[in-house]
Amino acid sequence: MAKATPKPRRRSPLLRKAFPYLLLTPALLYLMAITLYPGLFAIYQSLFVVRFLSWTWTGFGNYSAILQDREFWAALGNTAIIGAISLSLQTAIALTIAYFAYRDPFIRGWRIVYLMPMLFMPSAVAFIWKLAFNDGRVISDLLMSLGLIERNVDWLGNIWLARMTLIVADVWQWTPFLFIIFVAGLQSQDQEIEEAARLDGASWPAIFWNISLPMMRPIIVVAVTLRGIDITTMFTNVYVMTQGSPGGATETMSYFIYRQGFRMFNFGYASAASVLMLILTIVIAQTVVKRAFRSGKS
Amino acid sequence: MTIRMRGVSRRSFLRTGAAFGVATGVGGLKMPALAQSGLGDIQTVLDGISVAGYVREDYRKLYNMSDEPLWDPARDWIRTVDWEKVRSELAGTTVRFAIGAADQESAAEGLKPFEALSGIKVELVPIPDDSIYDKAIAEFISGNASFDALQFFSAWLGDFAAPGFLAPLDEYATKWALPLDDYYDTYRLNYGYVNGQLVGLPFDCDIQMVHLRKSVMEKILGGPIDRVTSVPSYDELIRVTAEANKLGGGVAGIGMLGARGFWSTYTWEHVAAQAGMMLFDDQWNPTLNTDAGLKGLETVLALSKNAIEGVSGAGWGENRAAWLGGQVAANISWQDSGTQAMRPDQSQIVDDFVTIYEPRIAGGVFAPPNIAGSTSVVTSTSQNKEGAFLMLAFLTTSSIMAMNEANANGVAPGYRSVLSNERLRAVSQPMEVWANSLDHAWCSPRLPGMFEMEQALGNEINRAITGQITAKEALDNGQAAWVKIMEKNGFKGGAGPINYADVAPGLYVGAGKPLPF
Repeated sequence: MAKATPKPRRRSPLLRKAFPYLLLTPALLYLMAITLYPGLFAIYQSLFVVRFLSWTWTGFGNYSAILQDREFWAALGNTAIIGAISLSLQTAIALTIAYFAYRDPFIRGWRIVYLMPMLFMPSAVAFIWKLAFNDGRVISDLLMSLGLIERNVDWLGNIWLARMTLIVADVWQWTPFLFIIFVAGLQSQDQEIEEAARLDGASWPAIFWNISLPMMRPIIVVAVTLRGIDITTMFTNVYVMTQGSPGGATETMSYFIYRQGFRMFNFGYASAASVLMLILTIVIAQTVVKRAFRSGKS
Repeated sequence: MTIRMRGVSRRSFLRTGAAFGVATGVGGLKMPALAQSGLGDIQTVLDGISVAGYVREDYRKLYNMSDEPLWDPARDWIRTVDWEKVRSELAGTTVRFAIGAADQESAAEGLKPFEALSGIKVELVPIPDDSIYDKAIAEFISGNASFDALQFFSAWLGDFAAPGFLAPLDEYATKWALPLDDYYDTYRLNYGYVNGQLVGLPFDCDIQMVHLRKSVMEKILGGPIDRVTSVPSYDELIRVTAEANKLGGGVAGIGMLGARGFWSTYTWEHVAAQAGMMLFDDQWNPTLNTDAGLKGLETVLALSKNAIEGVSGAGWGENRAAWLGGQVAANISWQDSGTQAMRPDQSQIVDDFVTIYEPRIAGGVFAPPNIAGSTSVVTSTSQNKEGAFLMLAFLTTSSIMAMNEANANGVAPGYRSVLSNERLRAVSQPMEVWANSLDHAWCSPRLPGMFEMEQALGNEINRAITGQITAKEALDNGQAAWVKIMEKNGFKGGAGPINYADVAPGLYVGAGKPLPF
C-alpha cells in the first residue's frame, strides 16, 4: 500500500510576507547600531556647539564656520593633492606590474610577494617609513652613500618633501591592492581576442593598450574608486609620520577631523566636517563611477 | 508551595541572608579601625623613604651621594603629617588613581609606602600615555569617572576645572597642613588654583631654559661660558648659533621645539615673554600681535635659520634626542634637558654643557618661562576625596620630588626647600640658575580652552617657521583664532569663567624684583 504523501505545511500569507524581513532583521539591527546610529548622531551633533557637557544649538553655524576655516580648505586641498598623486602612481605602477605579471608564469607563481606590503599593519608600516625618512635618516644616508645628496635632507621642513614621504609610504603599501585586482581582470579576459590580434601582427604593448586596457575599464574604475575612497580617509600615515607638519601641508581631512574632535574636543565642529566629507566623497565617487560606466556603454 | 531545604524555608533563608548582609555592611564601616591594626611601624616606613632606597644606585655611585637627605625634613610633608590620625580616619578605604600606562609599574612600587603609612589601598587605573586627555575627558563627561585622582599636563587645568570636574582641595590642605607656602609662587598659583580655589597639587614643576654646549660655544665665545654674561641677549644667541652652525661636524647651531601645535607656541611664548609679551589684557582680550609678541616671533624665526634640520617637526622627543645625542650646540628646552644631559646612561654630552640665565631682549623683562609641567587633582565624583588628596600629597611631597630630580626622570620639584638644597644641586647642574630664576617666572593662564588656543596658535607659528606666512600674519591669525575659541568658552566683554584678577598675580611674578644675578 502506497504511503500517503504528507501535505506540505503552509505558512500563513502574513508570515510568508514577513519572513524575508525577519531574516534581514539581525543584519539590519547590527548595521543600524554600528553605522546608522553613529551617522545620524554625527549629523545631529553637527548642529550644536559642544563643549564637554554643554550643548548649544547653532543650526548650520558649524557648517558656516567650517566653510570659512582656512585649515579646512587646506586639509581638503592636501587630501586632493596627496590623494591624486598617490592614486595616479599606484594605478600606473599596478598596471605596469600587472601587465608583466599576468602572462609570466614565474612571476605569477610569486604573486604573494607583491601582496606582502598590504599584509603589514598600517601603523607599523608608518613607523618604519618615519624611521627611514626622519628619525633614523635611513633614506638620507642611502642617498648620501650613493652620492646623490651632500647632507641630510629635512624631509619635514619642506612642504613637497613632507607630502612625498606620505605618498611613498601609501604607494608602497597599497599598490598591491590595485595590482591583484588588475591581474585578476587581465586573466579573466578572453585570450582568443589577444591571439587574434597577435595573428594580425599586433605587438604586445599595442594589444595591451588597444585591447586589454579598454576591456579592463570597468574593473579599473571600480578598483580606483575603492582606493580613492580609502585615500580620502588617509589617517594612520599622517598621524604617525608627520602630524600635519610642516605648517599643515600634510594635514588630510581625516587628521583635521581627528584633531578637531579628539585633540580640541570640538565635537560638533568635527561632526560637521565629517558630514561634509561624507557628502563630498559620495558625490565624487558617484560621479566618477556613473561617468565611467556611461561612457563605457556608449 | 513552600520549598524547604533541610528544614529552612526559602523565605527564612532569604531573611537570614539579608540580616547577615546588613551585619556585614555595618561591620564594614568599622573596618578601618580593624585594618590599621595590621599596619607597620610608621617611622620604619618613613626611614625607608631615603636616598639609599629611592635614588638609582649607579647615580649614587657616580656622584658619591650619601644617605643625607636632599630635602629639608622639616618641610617634608610625609614627615610632618600625623599618620596615626590618617590611619584612624581612612585606613581600609580605597583610592583609584589614573596614571599613564608606562608609569604603572613604577607608581605601584612607589605607592607601597603610602599604603603602609596610611592603610589606604591604591588601585591604579592605567591609561595609554598618548590618550590620557581624551580618556580623562570621556570619563569626566560620563559623570562617573572610574578614578578618584589623576595627574595631567597642567595646560589642561582650566579645561578640567571650569566644568566642575575637579574637587576643591583647600579644606584638606588646611586639615592636613600641606606646606603650600614652600612651593614657588609660579607653581602654586598656576598649577594649583583656579578662580581662587585650590584644585590641584603641583606635580612636575617645569621651566624652560637655554643650554649651551661648552665644546662648541667656548670656541666661538673665546673662553669659558659665564652663565650671566656670555650670551646676555637673544641677539647674541642668534649670532653664536649662526657661528656654530657654520662649524659643521654634525652639530647644528640650535635645537628648539618647532613642531605644529603647542610645541611652537611654547617656544614663541618663551622668547616673547623676554620681550615683555603678556598674552591678555585685563579684559581678557588676547594681545599676541603686539610689538613684544612680534619681536619674540621674529627672534624665533631668526633662530630657526640656525636650527637643526627637522626643527619644524620637533616636539619634545625629537628635541631631547638631538640635544642629548650631541647634534646641537645650543638648546631651548626644559630644565630636565640639563639634568638628563649629566647622566651618562641618557646623554652623550656629559660635562659638555652649561645652563645659562635667560638671555634678555632690549626693552623687555627678565621672565624665565614656566611652561607646561603637570598637576595632580582629585575628581569631583570621587568617593574618597580625602584619601585621594592624601595620596597625591604623598606623591608630591618634597623628599620624593627631590629624589625624582636626583633620578633625572623628568619629574621636577617646585619647592624652595628642595631647589635650595646644595646636595641636590650637586647632581642637577641647571638647579642653581633654575631656582634663582623662579621668582621672576612668566606663565600662561590655565583657562578653559587654553590647550586648544595653544594648538591653534602653534599651527600658525609652524607655518611661519616653514616660510609659508610672515610672523605678523601668524600672530594675526592666531589672535583671531583665540578670540573665537575664547568666545566659545564663555569669555566676552571682559568677563569669563575665570576672573582675570585671580589669575593676574601668577602670570609674571618678577615685577619690581631685583635681578638674581
